[in-house]
Amino acid sequence: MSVIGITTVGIGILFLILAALVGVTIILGKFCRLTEKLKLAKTEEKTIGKEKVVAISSAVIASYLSKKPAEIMMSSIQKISPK
Amino acid sequence: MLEGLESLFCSSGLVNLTAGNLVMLIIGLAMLYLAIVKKFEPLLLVPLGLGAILVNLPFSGIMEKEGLLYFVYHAGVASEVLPLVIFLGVGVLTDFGPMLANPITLLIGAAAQLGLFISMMAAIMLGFKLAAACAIGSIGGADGPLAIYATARLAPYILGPVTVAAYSYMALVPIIQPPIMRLLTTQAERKIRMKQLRPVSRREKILFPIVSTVFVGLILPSSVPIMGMFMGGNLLRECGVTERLKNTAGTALMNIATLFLGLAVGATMDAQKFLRVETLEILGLGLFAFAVSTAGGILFVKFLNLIKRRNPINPLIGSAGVSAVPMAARTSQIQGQKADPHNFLLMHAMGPNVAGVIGTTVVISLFISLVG
Repeated sequence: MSVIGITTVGIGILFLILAALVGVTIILGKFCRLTEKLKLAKTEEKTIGKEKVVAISSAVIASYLSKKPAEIMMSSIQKISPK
Repeated sequence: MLEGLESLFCSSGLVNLTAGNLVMLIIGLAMLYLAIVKKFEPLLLVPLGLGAILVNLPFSGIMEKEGLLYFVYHAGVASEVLPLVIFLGVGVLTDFGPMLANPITLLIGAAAQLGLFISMMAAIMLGFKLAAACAIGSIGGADGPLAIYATARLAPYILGPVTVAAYSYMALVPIIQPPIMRLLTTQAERKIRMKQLRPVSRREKILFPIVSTVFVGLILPSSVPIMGMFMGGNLLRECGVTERLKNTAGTALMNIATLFLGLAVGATMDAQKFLRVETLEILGLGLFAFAVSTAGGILFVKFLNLIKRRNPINPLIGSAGVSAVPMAARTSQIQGQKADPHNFLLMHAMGPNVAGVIGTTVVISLFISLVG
């Protein structure tokens, strides 16, 4: 191959490979961020689930021990899930 | 008895020292001076200078068959083992974080390889063979182990001058680059502040070396030894479960390889091979390659800014695309702070800096595929 040929082909392939690598890196970055978000969301869900169980149990115990069981139960449930 | 003394005197180095040997001894001492007093790349210039001195002492036999450095040269340099082992260590010391946070810097690293091609063409014009011209062009990548790897494969007879040129210019980055940077940028461009880089996750840092090696290796199989070692070293760093291997590859193993590589390459610099007009031409072409690569990176960033008007890139980080990690990035930072003392470009410049290593790897693999 001639010198001009090597230079042209070389620069072309160099940019092609590194441009493709830019694409691969962007996709990799997005994929990793997405999986991390999903992982974070799952962990939060689990934590929220545990918190709910603890809150409901405490409300039940408190209502059993106190004189106004219904009011305590209602306010606890509203705090846990306002909707 | 007199005859014995006479024959001893005749076989001594004092009688057989040629003018060429003397010049090479002075060059070897100059390398030691630059390394010890001026602190220019001491880790390589000390063994290189020592090798040059040892091989130019008449009848030392150190580079003849069964000589110590002859063995080291053939087992480590001609076989390309030592540059690759050093590259494994370079991978351990490299952080791809800034490049992963801003992937466009990979293209800056590609643009800063322009000097390799231009100087290759210039070398052909000066009468060098194609393989030798490609080896000379590799100086423009400003990556010592890669230049040695390419030259050992393509043109081993110019290994000495190419190594001296590559490491000298790497050490001279803070002197060579700033005038070119100032010439090609305006004060307003040098003041451009860039957005803070996003944090990069550990998962991304682990996946990148694996994905990129497979990807580039499939397209360009000749890149596998270099990319494999470089990215393999980086994987040892990022995976977090090979602490001992990482520490060994990045320190002891790399130091041993650097020591023997320096000694063996220094031993190729005997007067007959080194003191030629060709050596001066190689040194000149190396400097030219380095300057063109610097300019290529800067001009490409200016071109990108024409498209990317909303979030411009400071052109000073373009010069960091010439590998020479981390000196080139540090030079960008210093020049940026001269224009605006509150501008911090170091982390932004590390992106093209490590991308430059990948770019040089690709170009050298291409040279080997097309010419080797």
